[in-house]
Amino acid sequence: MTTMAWRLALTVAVVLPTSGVQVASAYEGFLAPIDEIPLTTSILPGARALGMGGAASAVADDSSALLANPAALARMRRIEFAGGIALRGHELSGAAFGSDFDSSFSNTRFSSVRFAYPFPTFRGSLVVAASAEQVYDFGGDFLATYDDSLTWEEGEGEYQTGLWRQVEDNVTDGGIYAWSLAAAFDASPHLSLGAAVSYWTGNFDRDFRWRADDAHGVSENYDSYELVVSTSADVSGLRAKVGALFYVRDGLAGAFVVESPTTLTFDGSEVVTESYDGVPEDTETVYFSDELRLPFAFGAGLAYSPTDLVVLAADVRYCDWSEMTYAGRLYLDDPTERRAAYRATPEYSLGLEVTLPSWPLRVRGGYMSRPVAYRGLDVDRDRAYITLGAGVLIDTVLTVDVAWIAGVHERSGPDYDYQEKTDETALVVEAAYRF
Amino acid sequence: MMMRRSRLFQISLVLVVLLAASGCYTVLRHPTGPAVVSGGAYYRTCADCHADAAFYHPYYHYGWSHYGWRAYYGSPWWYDDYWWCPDDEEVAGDGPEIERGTRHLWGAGGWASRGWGFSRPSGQGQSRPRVTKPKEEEHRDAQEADEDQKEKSQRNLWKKRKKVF
Repeated sequence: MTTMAWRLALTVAVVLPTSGVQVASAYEGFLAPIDEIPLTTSILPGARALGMGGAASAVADDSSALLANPAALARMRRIEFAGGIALRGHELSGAAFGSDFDSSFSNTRFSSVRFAYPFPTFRGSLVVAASAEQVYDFGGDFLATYDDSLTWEEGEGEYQTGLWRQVEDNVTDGGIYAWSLAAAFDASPHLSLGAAVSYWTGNFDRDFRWRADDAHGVSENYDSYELVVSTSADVSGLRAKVGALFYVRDGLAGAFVVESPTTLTFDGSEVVTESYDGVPEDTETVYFSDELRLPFAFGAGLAYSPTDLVVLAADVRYCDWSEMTYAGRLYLDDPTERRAAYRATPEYSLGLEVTLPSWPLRVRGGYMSRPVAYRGLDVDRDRAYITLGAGVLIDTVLTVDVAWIAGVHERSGPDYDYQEKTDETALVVEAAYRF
Repeated sequence: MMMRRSRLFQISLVLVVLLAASGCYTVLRHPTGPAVVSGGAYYRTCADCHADAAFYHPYYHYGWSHYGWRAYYGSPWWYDDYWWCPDDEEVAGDGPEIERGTRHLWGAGGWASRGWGFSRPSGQGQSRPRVTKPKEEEHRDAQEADEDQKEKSQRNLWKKRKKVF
């Protein structure tokens, strides 16, 4: 059987970055999320904000404001060095064509290094800051074994359909770090403004392996077929963010943030290897330079302190992911209707922070809604997280913040037998030293 | 791609300029007008002139249940005593007496109080005549001298200035 024949049989679900062909449907090909762009998942904020459900735009009062709302940097009066690590993990389980599957993945990375410098002022505030933060983590693992019908070319021009045992193994790695510069100042007694410019750089690696075994003896010529696609790319891009922070009255602050569109460039290569009955027969290497454009994002938030001991916070962030382009706009592979492959998602965050009386300790809790933007699968239970956190102050100069989140979402195939459940957890620990 | 980045950079630059131009509220250096520097002991604290600026920030109230939070958030690194407030005694008193109207530096007649080097013991020879004024008159003269000096210092149209906003 020729390579072209296999590809025809599998339709075009293998993403070919140079071709610009994007098929949003997760079926008619592979179950692994090889066509779901992993850039619509929201970015983890700092540990304090994460403990409060990600509600940070009106709450941030440290260098993590650079990510949440640059204007909030204007609250700072002391030089700060900060850094942190993040442990992320997820477990993917489900059933495909009657067969259960389960895989898990975790990694630990430096999540941030930050520096903020408030200029001495006699009135108002002027703060500059720099940081390197991980804004996306591409780590993931998908492994599923199932029996499903397959069409193959048994002989020259002779196509057959039968039940094959198939294994899909998709491992992704890499991430994007944002190198940012920001400045904020008080424009009036009750209004702070800020802006940040970030240079995004990182890498994306993916090893996708699909193996079909003739476990049911439907083919006379083949026992197995294996397709291995190894993709590696360097990522770069620029993003700007402006923010405003307004003190409505004592204890009540509002925030507004606008994130600019971002064009990410993926420069890399893809190596495709096919094996028949365990013998590699064809290897093809493709070099590519892709451009992916992320749309505007808008955020707003409120923070309210009814007493000295309590802060309530709420954030909403809106991004219309249907405007995302990757060699053109992205649509589902539906011949009867033009449907965008990604949808607009309003993300909600609610958080509470309580300071323990007479203790240098604060405890936090929150709820974080992060709807799935991808529409190739039906969302049965949308993504949401419960968050917990705590922060301790040591000798008026050092804070240590810890946040833990847990979330779950469930999806299923729109017209085929597939269900998946994703359990996600993250633990973020940050320390900040103030001079 | 380069065009897009260039456009993004230009937009960012315009935004930064607009933001900086509108930031007249923030003052990096303290103004030096007579009303500011002649305020007696009060001039030490910004809050005396800018009460709103000192206390509007919700986080300067929040978390004061423990002294550490106040120090962590509310103590600028450049000023150990940012929220300094004069106590009652300092407010009520005039502070140490200040000699005015004399030449404490570069005076041709030596030190104003002691002349050159030493003076004779009282009653042993002729001492230097000393003119004294009533305290109120002395204070007024000193203030007038101060005002004259300040006027002169403000006649510098082309004086090198630092940008502040």
